[in-house]
Amino acid sequence: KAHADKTYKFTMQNMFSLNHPISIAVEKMGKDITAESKGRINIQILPAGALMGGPNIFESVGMGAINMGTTCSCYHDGILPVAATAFALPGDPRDVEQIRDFIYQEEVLKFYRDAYSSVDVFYGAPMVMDGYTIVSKKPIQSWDDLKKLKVRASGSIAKTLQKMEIPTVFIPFSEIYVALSRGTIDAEISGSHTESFLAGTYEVAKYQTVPDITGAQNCELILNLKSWNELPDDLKQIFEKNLKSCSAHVAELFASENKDIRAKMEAKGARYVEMPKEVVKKWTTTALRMWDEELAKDPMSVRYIELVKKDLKTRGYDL
Amino acid sequence: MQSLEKFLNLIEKINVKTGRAFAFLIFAFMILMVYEVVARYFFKSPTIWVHELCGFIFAAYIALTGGWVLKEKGHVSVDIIYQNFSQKGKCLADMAVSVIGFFMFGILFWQGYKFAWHAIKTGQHSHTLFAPPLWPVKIMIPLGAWLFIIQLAANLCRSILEYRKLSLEPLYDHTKRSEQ
Amino acid sequence: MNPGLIVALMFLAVVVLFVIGTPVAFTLGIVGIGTLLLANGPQFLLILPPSILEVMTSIILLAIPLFIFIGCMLEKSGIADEIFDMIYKWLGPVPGGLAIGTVFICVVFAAMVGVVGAATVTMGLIALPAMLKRNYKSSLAVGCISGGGALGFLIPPSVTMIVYASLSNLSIGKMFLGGVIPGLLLAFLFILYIFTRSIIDPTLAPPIPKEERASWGEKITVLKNLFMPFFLIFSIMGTIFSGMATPTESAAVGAFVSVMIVFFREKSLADTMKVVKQAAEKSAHLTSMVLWIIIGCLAFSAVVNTLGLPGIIKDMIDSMGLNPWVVLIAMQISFFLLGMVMDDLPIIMITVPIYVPLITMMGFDPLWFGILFIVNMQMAYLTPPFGFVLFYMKGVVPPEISMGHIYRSVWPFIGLQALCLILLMLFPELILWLPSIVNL
Ligand code: NA
Ligand code: NA
Repeated sequence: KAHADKTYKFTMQNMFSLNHPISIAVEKMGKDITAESKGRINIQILPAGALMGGPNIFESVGMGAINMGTTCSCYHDGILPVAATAFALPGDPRDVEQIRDFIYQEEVLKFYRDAYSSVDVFYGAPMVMDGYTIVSKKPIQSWDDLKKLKVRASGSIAKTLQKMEIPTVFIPFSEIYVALSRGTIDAEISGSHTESFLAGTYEVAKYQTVPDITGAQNCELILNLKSWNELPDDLKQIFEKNLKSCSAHVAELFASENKDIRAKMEAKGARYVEMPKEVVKKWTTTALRMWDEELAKDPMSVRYIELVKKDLKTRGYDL
Repeated sequence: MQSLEKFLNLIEKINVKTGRAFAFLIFAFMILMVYEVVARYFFKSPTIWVHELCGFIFAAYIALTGGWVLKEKGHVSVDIIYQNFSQKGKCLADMAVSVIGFFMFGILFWQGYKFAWHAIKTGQHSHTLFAPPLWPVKIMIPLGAWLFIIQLAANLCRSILEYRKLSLEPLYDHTKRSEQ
Repeated sequence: MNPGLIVALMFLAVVVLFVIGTPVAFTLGIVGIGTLLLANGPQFLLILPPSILEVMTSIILLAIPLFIFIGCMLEKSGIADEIFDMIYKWLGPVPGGLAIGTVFICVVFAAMVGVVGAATVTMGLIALPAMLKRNYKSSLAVGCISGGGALGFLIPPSVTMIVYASLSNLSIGKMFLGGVIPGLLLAFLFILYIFTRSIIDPTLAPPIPKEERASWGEKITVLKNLFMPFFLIFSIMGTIFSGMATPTESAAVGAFVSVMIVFFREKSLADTMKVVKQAAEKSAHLTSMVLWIIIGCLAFSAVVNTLGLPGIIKDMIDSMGLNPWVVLIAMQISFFLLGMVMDDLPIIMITVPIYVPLITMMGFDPLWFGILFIVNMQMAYLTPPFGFVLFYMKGVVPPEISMGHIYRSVWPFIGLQALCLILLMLFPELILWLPSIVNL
């Protein structure tokens, strides 16, 4: 049993930039937890890249090099495939609130936590934002338009695009802007419209397509399992409560930001274009086939897809 | 004494041969990158593997040449004061550098080994589409650290031998060393 | 322990290790790892392998060996002799013409090569004897080669820029563009200075005698010597800005073209292979050196970050009510002072983890700051007592020219670099305009 007066110092590597909604929410969460625990928990939040980049945070938290982190589970494919499956599923129509609601269902949250604990990670909370979107130099008005683009993409989105025989390119994140402006690539799969705004890619590729091509992205806040288990129950409770409100805070910040940003981008010449029905249909069909084929190789992913399908049915989607 | 000399030569030979051999990897990533540009620009069929593979090759290129560069005294130092030391002073400083070097590369070897072993044990692969296994690149850290460690050991022995020589033969021609 | 005290002890340890001649890579690594171990415990050391791996597999840093390789190939290719021949014929009759031409060749070299050594070494071998033979004063000859050689930092491609940009998460492409106008501005200042002084004092750099001057026919034919260099420049910068390639890919294309150029000139596979082998070994040697410094720095910057140093300094600045510009100028002065005793890389490694977050917090543009930093590093390359160019020049000048004389020769050019730095601080558009219009 832990002593009541013991203090816990947690080092946390954040992967998001300074003014990113997740950074703001996490910063507030850290302060709130310290205050509510009367200083018994102290969380040091390190800025993006301070110790390592996003793709390495999951493993480092699992191995116990750091106690906490924010990361995106698209990076965990080689370690815990179901985590990557659960990240912004292509073709999933659910938005931020629906995904958050889904993950916080008792059955689903337990599934997440069990899966993550197999690699010594405690799944803290979902940090959900809009799904992926295509940002392109030319408007996508037909299937042929899309097929002609050289698209910078990664992970499961790239997989889906390749299934549809659309050439994807991988170039480092920091070079996307210049690559778009010089035409090295014609389009990028942007984290969201907001990301396109923050990275300035809308200046060089003005077409922002709607709807999103994936379900909302659920980035996450994770803890080292051992560090979590060492906490006494009262501190765990304080943590849980703040994790949940942090998740809500993130969603709130994104929602208010999105409205501003659309106006700002449109004022500067960006255009929101609706993808034609045929493209959306083709995208969804390809993506859904992947759910049953590609993802079926991993038993945990199969279970996850079942949970998703059940949830979609309850929400009245017919795919 | 002679067998020690032989042993030191062997260590240095390992580092020089390894370093020179891996220096040629530059042609591997040069050609792969040119291939990628041509494939993407002229044939509209970019690969998913060139950049990641080049990154892996680069890791070997860096990790396995470090010991060689140490042997050739190529790791730059800020030597405005060091260069004014006496021959004996330089030997003592070199010994100190080798000893503290063990500390750094010992830790890199130990942590790098843990990291690589974890990847081997869990069969980790990369999160990209190409999804290659990660252990081949992760073992570069302990391997590189190991090459440094054996070279530091050789350097330490050489500094000690030199120091003894200087102490035993005060009339020994000191200019020889500074010409290196 | 108080963060201020920890930092003071760390810097003390760095100084002590530097004094006993510890390689920069080891110094930063040992101090960083030691502090991590003491302040955060052994478990925390596991952060090192993933961050080392990020550096060792970085596609951006992969450009470094390729740009160094191009430099090594050009040094051996004889291209510099040919351009100098052209300069001699065209500018020989002008007062100060050979020195002006030397600056011009340095600009061309800078645009082909990512490291500064190549231009300095080549010009030291070709242009210096030629100028001394034509009764140019050695101070001007040495000065223009030193200043011109340093342009390689600022005119893209530039390995120093790659390292800076990768450490501070900036786009290499934008950083390269940011250096173009400042680089040309500085070259222009050099040329203006040489020309004015040569007019005022005709004995400084006399025109070549009438009987040695080339005819117009010769002048025209010799222009073909520019073809190869411009082809190479195009294969590097052209592929980036036309959108064919990312900066790293363009370096690979350039390296490939440089092999072709050497093969074309040597016309023998065996000779080409000899040059190529030497270049490959030298590139690996230098790249390994640079990358291990970056790796050594990882632990060091992890400490700086876990201590939250930039934030602490920011609070200090705010509480003292300092104007951000005062801080900015203090940073420039610190670069200059560090530059007297160190090379560009150690300075980047020690300052970037602290300065760049601070600069961003104070609302300055990190790209602009990066170019100011690069201009400063050009000065470091020249400033006595420790500068590569000074020792190198001592090796190639005739024995009667002393080290003191060389020191005096470089000061006017350091002055021009400082003038350029001030202009860039006053008119940020000089840096930021080009990166901003490339969006169009
Ligand atoms: Na250059
Ligand atoms: Na200097």
